[in-house]
Amino acid sequence: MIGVPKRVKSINFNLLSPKEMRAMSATKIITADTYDDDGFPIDMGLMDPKLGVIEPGLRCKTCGGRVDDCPGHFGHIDLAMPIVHVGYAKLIAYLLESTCRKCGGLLFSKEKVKIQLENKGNTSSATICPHCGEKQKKIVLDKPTTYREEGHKLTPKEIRERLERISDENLPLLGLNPKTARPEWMVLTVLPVPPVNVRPSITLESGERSEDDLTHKLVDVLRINQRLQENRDAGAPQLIVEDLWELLQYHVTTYFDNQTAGIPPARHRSGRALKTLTQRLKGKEGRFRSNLSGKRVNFSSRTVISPDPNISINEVGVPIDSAKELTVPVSVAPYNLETVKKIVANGPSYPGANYIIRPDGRRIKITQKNAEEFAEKLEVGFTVERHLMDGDIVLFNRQPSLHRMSMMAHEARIMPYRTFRLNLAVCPPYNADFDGDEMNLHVLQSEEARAEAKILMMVQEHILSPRFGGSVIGALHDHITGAFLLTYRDAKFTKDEVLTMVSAIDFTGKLPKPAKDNHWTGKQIFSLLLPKDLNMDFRASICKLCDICKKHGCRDDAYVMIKNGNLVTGVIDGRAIGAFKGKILDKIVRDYGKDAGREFIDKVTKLAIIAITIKGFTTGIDDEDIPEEAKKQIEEIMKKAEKDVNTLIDAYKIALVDPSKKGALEQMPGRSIQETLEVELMKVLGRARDDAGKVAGKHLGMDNPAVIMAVSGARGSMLNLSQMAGSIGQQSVRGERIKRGYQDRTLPHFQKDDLSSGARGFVKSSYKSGLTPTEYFFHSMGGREGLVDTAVRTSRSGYMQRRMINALEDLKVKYDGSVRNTAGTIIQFSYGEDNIDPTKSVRGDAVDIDEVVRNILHFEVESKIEGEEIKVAGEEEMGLPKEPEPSTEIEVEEE
Amino acid sequence: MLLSGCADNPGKPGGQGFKSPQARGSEGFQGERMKIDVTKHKLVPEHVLLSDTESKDVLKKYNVSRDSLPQIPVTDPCARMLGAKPGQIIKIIRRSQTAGSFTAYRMVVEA
Repeated sequence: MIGVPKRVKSINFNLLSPKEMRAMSATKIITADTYDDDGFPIDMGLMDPKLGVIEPGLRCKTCGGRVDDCPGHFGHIDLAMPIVHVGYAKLIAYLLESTCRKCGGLLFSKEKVKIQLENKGNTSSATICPHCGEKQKKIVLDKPTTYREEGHKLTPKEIRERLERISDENLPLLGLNPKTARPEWMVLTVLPVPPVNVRPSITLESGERSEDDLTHKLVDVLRINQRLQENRDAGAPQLIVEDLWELLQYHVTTYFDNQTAGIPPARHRSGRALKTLTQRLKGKEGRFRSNLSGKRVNFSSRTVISPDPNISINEVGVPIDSAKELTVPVSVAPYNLETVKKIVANGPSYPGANYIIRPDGRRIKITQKNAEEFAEKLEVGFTVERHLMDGDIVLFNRQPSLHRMSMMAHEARIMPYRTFRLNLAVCPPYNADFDGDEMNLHVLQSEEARAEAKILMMVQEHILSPRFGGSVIGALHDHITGAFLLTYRDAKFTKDEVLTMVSAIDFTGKLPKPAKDNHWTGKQIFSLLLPKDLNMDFRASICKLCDICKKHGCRDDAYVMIKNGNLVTGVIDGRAIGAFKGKILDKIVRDYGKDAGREFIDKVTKLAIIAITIKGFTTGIDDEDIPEEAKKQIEEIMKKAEKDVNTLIDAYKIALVDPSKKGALEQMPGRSIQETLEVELMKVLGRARDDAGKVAGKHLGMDNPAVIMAVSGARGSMLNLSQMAGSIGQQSVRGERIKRGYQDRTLPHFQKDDLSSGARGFVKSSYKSGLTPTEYFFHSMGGREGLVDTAVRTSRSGYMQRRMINALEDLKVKYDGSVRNTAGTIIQFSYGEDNIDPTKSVRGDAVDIDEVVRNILHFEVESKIEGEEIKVAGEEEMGLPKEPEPSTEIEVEEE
Repeated sequence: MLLSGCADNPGKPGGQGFKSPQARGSEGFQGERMKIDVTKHKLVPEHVLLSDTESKDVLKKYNVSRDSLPQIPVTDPCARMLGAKPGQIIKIIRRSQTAGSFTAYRMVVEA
C-alpha cells in the first residue's frame, strides 16, 4: 500500500478573537457603497481593491498577485455595538446559566467540579452564588438571540461583560479552552468581511453590475451600523438606539444564517430569500455535498437513451459526435506507432485524435491543418488522446444508482445519430425505459481502470444479482412472447423461416433433421442455443399447478424437459428465460460461465424477436371480448354478491340490537362487530370479483394474445385481464373499503350509513364496459392513494438508502474473511456470518441440494427413460407414462 | 417475552411462579442470580466466558487488539449471568440457517 504522506493527528476548533480578525484584515470597511459613478471600487467600501482581485489583468493592492495567485484578503467592519453570534446562542445561554451574574464564578459546588471535569456537561445552577452570595436569576434564551433574565432583556453588551468575567481557570470546566476560545468572543465587536473572490459581482450583458447575496447582506449590515453609530453619538433617544441595535442584530444574524428559526428570512428585491453563509454550506446543494463529496468529471457524457436489440448486452451505442469529444489516452510505443500516426493524421475527423501530449507535459491541440504535420512528428513516448472507438471499455450509469448494477462497464460501439443505444435486456438492472430517460457514460483513462472495469464491472459479471442470487438480466416482454410462440406445442416452421432464424443467431453447423414433412419444430430451433450437455426439467410459467403433476406428459406443454441440450417437452416462457426468474438462464450462467450466459441472452432474444416477427402478434381491446352469455353470468354473480352483502348487513344490524338473537352476525374472536362485517364483506366481494374473472377467463383461451402474454409472464396478469373483461372489484383506501367523504356516507348519492357494496367503493363494472360516475370516483380515490404512496415511498427510501450507505461505505471484507471498518474494528467475524456470497448462492442458499441430486441421478433416470423412448414434442399426442419419481434422500446417502 | 417459567404462572411473570436458578439446577453457575434465566430462552444464543489463554488465542487468530472486537456491556443479562468483568471476552455461538453455527466474540465493557 502507498503510505499516507501526511496523517491528520488532530483538529482544533477555535474561536476567532477580535484581535485576530483585525490582524488578518487588509482594510477596514466603512462605506456601504461598492463602486463609484465611474465604475471604480470605492476605497474602504465592500469592493475595496485591497480585498483581492477578480478582474483579470489587475494586480492585488495587498499582495500584488494576479487573479490566479491572489487568494483574496479579509477586511473587517467595526460594529458600533456588540452583537450576539447566532451560531453560539445556545452556548452563551449555557455559560450565562452556569456562572454568577455578578462575579462570574461557577455556580456549582466544589464536589461537583470533579464530576464536571469528567463530563463537561451542563450544570444545575444554584440560586445563590457560592463565591459572592449574589442571588441568581433565571435566564431564558428567547430564540434566536434574545436573552431574558426574569423578564428583563439583556443587551449583548451586558452579556459580553458577564462573559468577560468568567475567569480562565474556570473555562476548562465549562468545556472551553481559554487560549483559543474566550467566551466573550462569541459576542461580536468586529465582523470579518470575506474577500471579494468569495462574493464576486457579475456584470450583466446590459453592462449592469449584479452583486453577490453576501455583498448585499454586508451592505445592509454596514448601513445599519453606520446609522446606529450616528444616532448613538448624537445622543438619540434610547428607544431609537435600541431599535437600530436590534435591526443590526437581525442583519448580522441573517448574514450568518438566513434560515434561522424565529425570524423572517432576508429577501432580495425580487422576493427570493438570500443565500448567506450557512446556506452556502448546508444541504444537498451546499459546499460539502455538492462540491467536496461530489464533483463534476471530465471524459463523461450524458444523453437520451434508446433501444437497440441488435447490439450485445455488454455493448453501448455511442453517438459519433460524443465519440469525437470523449478521448482515450494512448501512449505511443514502437508497436503502435504506425496505427497512432494514422489516427493523428485524421485530426479532428473521426476516427482521429484531439490532443498530443509531449513527454515534457505540453498539450498540443490537433486541428485539421496541423494534423498531417504532427502525425509525422509523432515519436515513441508521446501520448495521444484519440477518439473513442469500437471496443473501448466505458462505464454506463443511470441514476438513481441504487445498487452496483446501476453502473456497469460496456464496450463502446460508435453509431450515427445522437442517442446512447442499449440492449433491451439490460433495462431491468438500470431500471431504464425509453420515455425520455437519460444516462451517463464515462470513458476510462488508465490501463488499470480499464482492467478493473473489465474484470469486475462488465455487464456479464452482473447477470446474477447479489440481491437474491438469480439473474437480473434476461428476456422481457416481446422476447418472452416470441420464445413462447416459437416453442409452444408443435409450432412448425418452413425451411425458409428456419434459415432466417438460424442466420440471426449466427448458427454454424448442421441443421437438425426436420421433425415432420420438411418442417422444423420451434423446439428444435430453440435447442440450437442450448449447450449440448444441458439437462433440466422444471415447470414453465404457464403451469396451472395441478394437484398431480403429469411431468413431461403435461397436456398444457407446461413441463419443460431438456435432455442433452434438446428441448424435449414444454414451452419456453418467463420461467425459462425471463429476467428475475429465468431458470435456463440461471443455469447457463452458473454452469457454463458468464460469457456463455451473455451470448445466450443475446441470441435467445434475437431468436425470439425473429420468431415473433414470423408468427405475428397483436393485441387489442377486442382480446377481452366475451360472449353475451358470459356477461349475463357475470351480472348474475354480481347480483348474488350484492344479495349476500345485504344479508350480511341485515345480520349485522340485528347483531347491533341483540347479538344473541337468531340470524345475528356472529362476532369473530378479537374483532369488533364492525370489523367482522367488513371482513365478511371483503370476502364476499373478493370472491365475486374472482368468480367474474373466472367466467371471463373461461372464454379467453390460449389462442388469445392477451392471455398468452399474461400466462407466459411477458406482460400483465390474468387479474388485469379479468378486470378488463369481468369486474374491477373493491377499491380501497388505507386497506379498507372506502368510508371517508361526507358525514356518515361516501358521496351525496347515497343514504347515510349505507354499508352496501356500491356505496363503499365496490366497482362491479369492468374496464371495458366502463364505470358508473360513482364507481369512477371511487376508482380515482384508490388510484390517487397509489400515486401518493409511490411518491412518499421514493423520497423516504431514498433518504434511508443515503443513511445506510453513509454507515456502510467503508466496511471491507479482509483476506481472513472478516468484515472490518477503516479503524480495523471487527464488524462481522465472517462475511454475512456465513461467508456466503449471495451472488454465487442459488437464490439465497449456499448449495442447491436438489440440483446436485438431480445431476447425479439424471444418468440413471435417463437410462430408464431411454428404454421407453420419449416422443419428441411436436408430434401430436403426449400421453406418456409418468416419469419415475427419483426417490431422493436415500440414494444421495449412497452416492 | 417468552420465559421458561411462564407455564407455571402465566398471569404473573416474575411472580412467585418462578423458581430460582439453583432450584432449576443451572450448572457451573457463578454469576449473578436472576429471577429469569435468559440463557434458557430459545432466542438467546449460547454465551461462553473465555479464559485468558483462550482470549489470547482469539485475538491472535483475528490479529486484533481487544478494542477492535465488538462489545457487550457488563449489564447485559447474559454477561451478568456469566459474571463477566470488563476486559474479558465472551464467545457467542449462534445457530445459523446457512452456516450451521456461527461464532462471534465480544469484549465486555463498562456500561
